Amino acid sequence: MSSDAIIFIIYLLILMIVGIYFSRRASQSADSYLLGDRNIGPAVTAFTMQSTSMSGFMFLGGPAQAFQQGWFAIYYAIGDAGGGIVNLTVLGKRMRRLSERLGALSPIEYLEKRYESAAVRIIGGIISIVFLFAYVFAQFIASGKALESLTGLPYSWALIIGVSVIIIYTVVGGYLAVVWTDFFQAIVMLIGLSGIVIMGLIHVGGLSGLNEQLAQIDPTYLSMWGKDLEFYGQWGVVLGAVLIYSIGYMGLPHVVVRHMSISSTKEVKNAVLWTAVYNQLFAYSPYIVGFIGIAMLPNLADPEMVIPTLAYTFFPGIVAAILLSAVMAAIMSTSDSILMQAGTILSRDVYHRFIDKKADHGRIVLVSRICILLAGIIGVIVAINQPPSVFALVIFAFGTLGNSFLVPYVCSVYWKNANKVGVVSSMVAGAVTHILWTSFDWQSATAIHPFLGGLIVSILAMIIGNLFGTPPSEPIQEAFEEAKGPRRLPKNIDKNVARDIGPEARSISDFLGRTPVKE
Amino acid sequence: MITMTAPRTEWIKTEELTFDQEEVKKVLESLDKNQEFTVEQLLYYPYYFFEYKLERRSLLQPKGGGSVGCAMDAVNKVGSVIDKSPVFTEKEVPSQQMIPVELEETEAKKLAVDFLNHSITYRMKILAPPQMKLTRSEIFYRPYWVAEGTKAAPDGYTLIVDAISGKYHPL
Repeated sequence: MSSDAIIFIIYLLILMIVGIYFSRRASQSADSYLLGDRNIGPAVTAFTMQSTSMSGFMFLGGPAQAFQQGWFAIYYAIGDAGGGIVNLTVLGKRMRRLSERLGALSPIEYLEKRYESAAVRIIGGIISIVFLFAYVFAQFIASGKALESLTGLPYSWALIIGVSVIIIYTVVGGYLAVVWTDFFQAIVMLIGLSGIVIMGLIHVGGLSGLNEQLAQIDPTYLSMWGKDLEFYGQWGVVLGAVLIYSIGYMGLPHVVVRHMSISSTKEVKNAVLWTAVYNQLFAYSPYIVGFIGIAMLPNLADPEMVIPTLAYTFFPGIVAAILLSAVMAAIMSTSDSILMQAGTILSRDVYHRFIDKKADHGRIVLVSRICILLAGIIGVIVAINQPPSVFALVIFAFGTLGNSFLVPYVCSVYWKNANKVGVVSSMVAGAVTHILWTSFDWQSATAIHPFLGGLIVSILAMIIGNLFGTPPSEPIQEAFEEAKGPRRLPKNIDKNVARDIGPEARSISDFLGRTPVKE
Repeated sequence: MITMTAPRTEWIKTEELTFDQEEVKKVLESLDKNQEFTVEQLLYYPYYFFEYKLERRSLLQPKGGGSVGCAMDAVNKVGSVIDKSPVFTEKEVPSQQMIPVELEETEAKKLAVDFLNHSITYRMKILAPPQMKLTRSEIFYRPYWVAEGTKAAPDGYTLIVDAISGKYHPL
C-alpha cells in the first residue's frame, strides 16, 4: 500500500474519532443528530453546506471543463455565482410572498400548493430523482479518480472501492455526518483550493501572464465562443450555459426538517449573505485552476486530474495526500446525503404512495436502502463501462432540473390562470426534451444548447397543456393577486422573515380575519 | 340595561414569554426605522408535544438510546423536531386568544411518529429505524404577538412574532 493510501485511511479514522467524540460529548440523544447545526451559526452552516455539496464538481469537474473549453467555461461560473441573485431578484419577491401566503416549506411543496395538485409533487419528486442520481454518479466517478490518484490503483478498482466505501458510509455512517467534521473538511478543502490557485497564479505570472500563455498555446482559449470557436455565433449555447446553474438551483429537492427552538434565537442570522459571499469567492476558483492546468500541464491525459496533479506539483506529498483525502471524504459526505434523499423520495413518494400503501416504516426504510444499493451497483456499472465526465453529468443534472422547474415557477407568479395540466405538461416535456437533446447530441445539429431547447419545449407545453385544465381556485387567484401587489415589507424586515413559521402565520391570519381580538 | 359578561377563559399549558411587548416593539422598530408598531394582541397557537424514548437496536445507534421530541402543529399538521424537553407552565387565558385546534390527538400521534421516523432515518443515516416509546404527550400553546405597523396601507404591515424565539413572519 502506498504511503498516500495510508494517509487517507488515517484521515478517515481521525474524522471518525472527531465525529464520535463530538456526538458523544454533545448529547447522547437523537436530537443532537437531528439538530446538529443549530448552534453553529450562519457562516459555518453556509460554508459547510456549499463546500461539501460541491466537492466533486469543484475539485474535478469544474477544472476539467475549463481545461477543455478555455474561458468559455466561465459562463457556467457566472450563472453559478449569480444564481442566488437571479433567483432573488427576478422571481424572488413574488415567489416569496406567495410562498408565505401559501405556507409552503419547500420549493416543491410550494408548487404543489400553488397548482393544487399532488401530481405536481410526485412528478417533481421523480424528476428530482433523475437529477439526484446523475449528480451522485458524478460523485462516484470523482471518488474513483480521487482514490486512483491517492492509491495508484487502476481506475476500475479505485471506483469499486470508492463506491463501496460510500455505500457503507451512507448506511452506517451516522457518526461521521456531524457538522463539525464537515466543517473541518470544508476548511481543508478550501485552504487547499486557495493554495493551488495562489501557487498556480504565482507560477504563471498572475492572470495576465496566464492569459498570455493561453494565447500562445491557442488563442481561441480566450474566446467567448469556446476553444476552436466551437460555438461561434451560437447565442443559444451561450445563453443556455449562463442560465443553467442560475436556474437549476430552484428545482433542488429540499428535504426540510423543521424544528422549533425552545430557547430564543435573538441574534440575527444571515446565512444567505454568507452563501453569496462564499459563492463569489469560490465559484470561479475551480475554473481558474483549469486555466492554470492548460498552461502548466499541457500533456495531461485526463482533464479531471488537474487538481490532483497540481496538488502534487505545488505541495509536499503528505500535504497533497491530506488535501485529496479531504476531497474524497467530502465526496463521500455529499454522496450519502444525495443517496439518502433519492432513497427517501423513491420509497416514500413512489413506493409508499403507489405500490404498497400499507407499508410500515420499517419496510419503507428497507425499500429506501435497496434503492441506494441498486443506485450504487448501476452507478459502478455505468462509471466503469462508459464513464461520462463529471462536469457533463453535473450539467446534465442541472439542465434537467432547470428545464423541469423554470417555467412552472415563473408561471406560478406571472400567469394567474396557469393550471396543473399546463404545469405537469411543462415539467415532463422540459425534462424529457433535455434528456433526449443531451443523449442524442441535438446541439450539434441545431446550434442550440440542450437547456435552451428544453426551455422552448417546456414553454410550449405549458401554453398548450393549460388549455386542457381548469383555472385555479378562487383562494389561489386571490393569493396570486396579493403576491403581485407592491412590496409590503422593508428590506431589513424582509430578510429576516422566518419562513418556517409560514403555516402558523397563515392560520393566524385566517383566525384574525374571522374573529379580530384585542387583549 | 347593559349586562357585562366576563370573557370565557381556559387553563392551558404554555411557555414563559422571552419577548415582551416592549422588547418586540423595540426590535421591530430598530429593524424598520420608518415604522411604529403597536404590539397588543397575544395569541396562543396549539401544538401537540410528544416525547419518545429511542431504544437502541444496534451498536451503531447512540448509546442509551436517548429521547426525541416532536411538536405537531394542531392546525396545519406540520411536524417540528424539538431540541430539548420543554418546561410548560399553566396559565389562564381568554378563549378568544386561542387558535382553535383542528387535529385530533390520535391522528397527531400517528403524524408525529411518521415525521420523526422520517427525520431520524434521514439525518441519522441508520439502517433500521429505532423503536420509539412514547413517554410524554400533551397539548400546549405557544404565544405569538401580533405586531401591527401603524402606517396606513400600503406602507403598513402586520407581523406575528414568536414570543419565545423572536422569529417573525408577515400576515
